[in-house]
Amino acid sequence: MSLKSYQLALAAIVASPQKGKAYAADPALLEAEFELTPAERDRLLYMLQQKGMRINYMLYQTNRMTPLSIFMPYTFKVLRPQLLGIVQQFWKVYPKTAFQFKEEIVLFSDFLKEKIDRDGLDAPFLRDVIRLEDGLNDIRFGMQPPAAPGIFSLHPAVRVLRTTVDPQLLAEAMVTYDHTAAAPLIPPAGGPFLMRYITRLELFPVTAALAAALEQGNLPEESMPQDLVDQGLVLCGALQ
Amino acid sequence: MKTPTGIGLMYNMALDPYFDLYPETIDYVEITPDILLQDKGPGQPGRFVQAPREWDTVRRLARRWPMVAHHVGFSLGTDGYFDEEYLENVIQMHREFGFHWHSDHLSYSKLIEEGQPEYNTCLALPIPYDSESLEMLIKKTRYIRSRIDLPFFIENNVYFTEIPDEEFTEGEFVKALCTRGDCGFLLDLHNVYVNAVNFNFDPIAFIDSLDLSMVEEIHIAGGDEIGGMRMDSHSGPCPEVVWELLDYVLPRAPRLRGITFEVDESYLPLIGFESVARELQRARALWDLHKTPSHVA
Repeated sequence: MSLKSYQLALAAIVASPQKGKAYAADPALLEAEFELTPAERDRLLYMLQQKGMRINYMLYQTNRMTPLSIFMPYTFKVLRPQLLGIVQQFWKVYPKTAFQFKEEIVLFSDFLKEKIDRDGLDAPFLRDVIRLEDGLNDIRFGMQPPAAPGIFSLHPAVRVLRTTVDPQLLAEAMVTYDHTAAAPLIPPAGGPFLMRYITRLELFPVTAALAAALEQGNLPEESMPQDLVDQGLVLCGALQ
Repeated sequence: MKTPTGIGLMYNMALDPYFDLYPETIDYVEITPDILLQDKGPGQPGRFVQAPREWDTVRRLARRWPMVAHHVGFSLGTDGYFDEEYLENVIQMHREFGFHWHSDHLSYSKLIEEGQPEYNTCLALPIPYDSESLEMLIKKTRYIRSRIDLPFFIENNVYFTEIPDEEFTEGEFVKALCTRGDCGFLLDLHNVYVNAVNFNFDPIAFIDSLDLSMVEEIHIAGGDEIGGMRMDSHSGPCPEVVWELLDYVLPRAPRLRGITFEVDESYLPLIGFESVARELQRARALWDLHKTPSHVA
């Protein structure tokens, strides 16, 4: 148990400079939390005094943030001025992270949506870019589109996207978005879209009723626009 | 394909055009399968998913060059943990690609607490060079060797905090592990250089403390400095000291199979493919100078 406990303690330290500081100031806290031999306790306390521990903290934070920055780049751009504080709050709520990026990304996205609803977290286009990136990541990680028990279903690389502004123009604006400049003017979306992501993002406007029916799988066969089937956005159950 | 000896390149996606531009600089290709796989997590059906585009490229490369695998996911240093599903996936990949050897690191990066899913330490953490760690690692490397009839090497780690009062020196620990654990030693010379700079020791004296007859692969790379410490960032050309170390090690490592250059994809736009080719050509010149019949047998 001892080596395992030592490894858990070191990992807990590199994940939290605050914990490291607290253990260094009061070694009894370290002993209370982990089952360590005197030698293991002394090793950890000695490591805490070394300047390299700052590098460990930095590497932990960089490596934990990297998948989020890769898979939620637009969210990171619009949150930039307040990003570090938000990410640190996220790490406080979720002190451990899985090896699987998908899980971390879904958790961070849900955390942000909760902060928007509960704490009024705000940034230009924030809710829209989260929705856009949620859809892209859902497709990238091969999650199944909402179950559709009817005849028609969305192609696995297609999702319904609801944004307040035009998602095509939003995606284009995000490429060069700079939080220090005035937010670009983007016209309203005017309704939901089907988004497809295979090698590039494609967007197709649909009516609200059609989007809802596709998600719920209750679209009568005669109501399905043939062009959606022809473009491969919607699969016909009979053909699957 | 014949077991390679010579000069290898660690694959990343940004290098794709390199293989057509400078094919003559490469004798084998090393891949880190973990970065090309989506891992759905322990116990998940079809847990390891290959990204189609990346693996199509890997398959194309495998038709042209011998392949070797450098893992990060065994997390060999984690006490009380061994990922059987991960090993099964390595075995399956070996069936397809016929790796000539494979390797992982002398560190830990995953942890598990009772009743909870495994979690990521987000950096490779050092293990104490003690009997307890040694016995734990020996069991794992012997088990891996028993499951795959393929040479397995363990790589020396970079570290940013020293562990005091260890039972063994790094050289003693690695020698005992390789001897009793039935594995070879992957000597990362840039890691040696980084540790030597950060902890103010003589890298040649360190090399002399190792049993170089255990060395079967060498990694070389470049790095940079952050916060007053040298980093193992694979950011470009090797520092001169790494070349000096390579020149020193080569005539003393009779079982060496290959020298692999590592470069991070994020730095490639800055340094360019020509720079990668120059590093591989320089490695080859040293290899040609020192190689013996035992190396190329």
